[in-house]
Amino acid sequence: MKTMHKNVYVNKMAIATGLGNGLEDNWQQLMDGRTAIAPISHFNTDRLDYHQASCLAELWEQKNGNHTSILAQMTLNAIKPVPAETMIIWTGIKGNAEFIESGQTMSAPYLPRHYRNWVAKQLGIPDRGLEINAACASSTVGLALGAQKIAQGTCSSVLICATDLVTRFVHTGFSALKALTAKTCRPFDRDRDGLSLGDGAVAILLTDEATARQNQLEPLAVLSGWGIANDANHITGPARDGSGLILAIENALTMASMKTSEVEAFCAHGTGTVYNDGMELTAVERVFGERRFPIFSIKGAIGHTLGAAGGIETAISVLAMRKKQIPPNTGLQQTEERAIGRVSDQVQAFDGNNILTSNSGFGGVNAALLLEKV
Amino acid sequence: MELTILGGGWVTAAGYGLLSEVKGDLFMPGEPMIPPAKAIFAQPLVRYGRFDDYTRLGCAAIALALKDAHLEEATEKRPLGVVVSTIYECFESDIAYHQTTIEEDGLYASPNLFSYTLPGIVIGEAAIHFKLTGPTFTVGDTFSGKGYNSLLSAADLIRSGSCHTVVAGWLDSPNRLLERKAEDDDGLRGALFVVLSKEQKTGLSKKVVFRDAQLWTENNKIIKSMVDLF
Repeated sequence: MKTMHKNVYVNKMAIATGLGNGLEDNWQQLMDGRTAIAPISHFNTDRLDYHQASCLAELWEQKNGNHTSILAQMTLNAIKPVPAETMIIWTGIKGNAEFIESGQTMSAPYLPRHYRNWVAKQLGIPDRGLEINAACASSTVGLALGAQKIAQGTCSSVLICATDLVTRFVHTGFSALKALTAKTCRPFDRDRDGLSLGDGAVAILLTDEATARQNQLEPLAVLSGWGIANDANHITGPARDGSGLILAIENALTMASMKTSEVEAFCAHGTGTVYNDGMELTAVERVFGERRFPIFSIKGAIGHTLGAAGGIETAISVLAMRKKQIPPNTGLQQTEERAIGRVSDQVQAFDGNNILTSNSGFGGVNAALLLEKV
Repeated sequence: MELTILGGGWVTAAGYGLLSEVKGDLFMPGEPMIPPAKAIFAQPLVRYGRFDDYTRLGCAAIALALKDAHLEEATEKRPLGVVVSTIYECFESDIAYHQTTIEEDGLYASPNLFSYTLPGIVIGEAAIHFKLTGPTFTVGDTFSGKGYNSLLSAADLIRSGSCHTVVAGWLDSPNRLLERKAEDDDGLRGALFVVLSKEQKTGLSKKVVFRDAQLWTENNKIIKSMVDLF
């Protein structure tokens, strides 16, 4: 299948998270094992059981304006210029939260298409594209669909953008679902007990080879495979047998013409909930057997950034291949038995040629991407 | 590439039914006539009565589309995809949920309503009931397109080999709580879904041709909206 398609290149990447604004800054702090998860100060959590999240201080110091746009702007400033023919895929999932919380009177974008229009204006390119929502796998699915368009030759350049924030709307919701941890999330820990939310924005530019060359862009990685599958199990809980994630990974591997034995690292969704991380380990065991290779989650450092998570994790995975290091699984204290030999709280040397990354979301959706060295 | 429409379903203010049975106008002013569960589900969907309008409307039209395609019943999970295109998404549920967070600084926020503040939950409900395990996501829509983006996305998925058959359609539910409507809002609400497949079938099924990055009818007419198929 791979030979029938055009190659898809990752050419530019920008992120902003609770750790800071900028890919290199985030990388360094991740490698130092730092976490941005701390008490929330921009809304009152006194009546709730959960008070922490990964928030970007410089974002919330700005009292006025639409914070989704402010955070997104940081990544757009870092990623421009982009080719004029670029198609925009907006994959933020709750950009309307501040609009709703303000009583619908603020002059702010409130539909996903408004964000896409706004991104085009900021980049000074014609407005064309899509808005994709696949819950917490939104930017992962956006990357898959963008790659699909490039591979099929219907687009030459696609920018996938997402921004999601720690809003009162989202925090009270996850609090009501009892999905949060009262401490700091600990993906793949034996005593993990919930997720931490995080501010996050991402912009990733995908192009075909000719566009990269014409625009003098340096290909950073190849997005060689992708798969999307539903587990048809429960709207807010993953299938315990990992069936949806297994299908998504298998489809990504088939598309990349890659054997399971060739996968060299896995950037997991790793939210720190009992069921998500358990489901992912089950899927890993079923697809890859007993073979050990590095598995990591960065959510102990930056929290769960919802729609932006997959894009941010893709950017970090590309950087991991280029810098030949796997980030530590921040927050890990006692590794869950099935993750022993796979997950580490230390930086790991990595000389692999590929990283698999995946995300899973409410509504049963799972998406996997396969990234390879250029 | 030639694709087949195996069936379709619709729910609007004019009524509800199968693509193979459309008679008269598809639209009229007013709120969609969401059908009762017993009129559309071969197997009971127990939570249907408790869904918000957006989810109920979407599940009803998906059920009708699968019924029309003779795909409503399955004993095992199957790799059918679902793509929903929508403008307002589940905005009414967002507002309804937010209202539960206002008192006591969020202490009484409703977990049930929060679960329905994602536009793809309707797909999750349909996937569970109809055992669908293909690619699933929502895509933004336009008032003039009414489902066009879902059709194009479904065609992309089939062409790329990601799946064989996709349930694709338009879904926008009534906005009673939203005070500021979109500037180009035509006021029409409802759901139109078709089952688009690589499967070649003759008879009552319609054909859609993907050519030059656009969709065409078998009579060589360009498709600009899901309405063109009904």
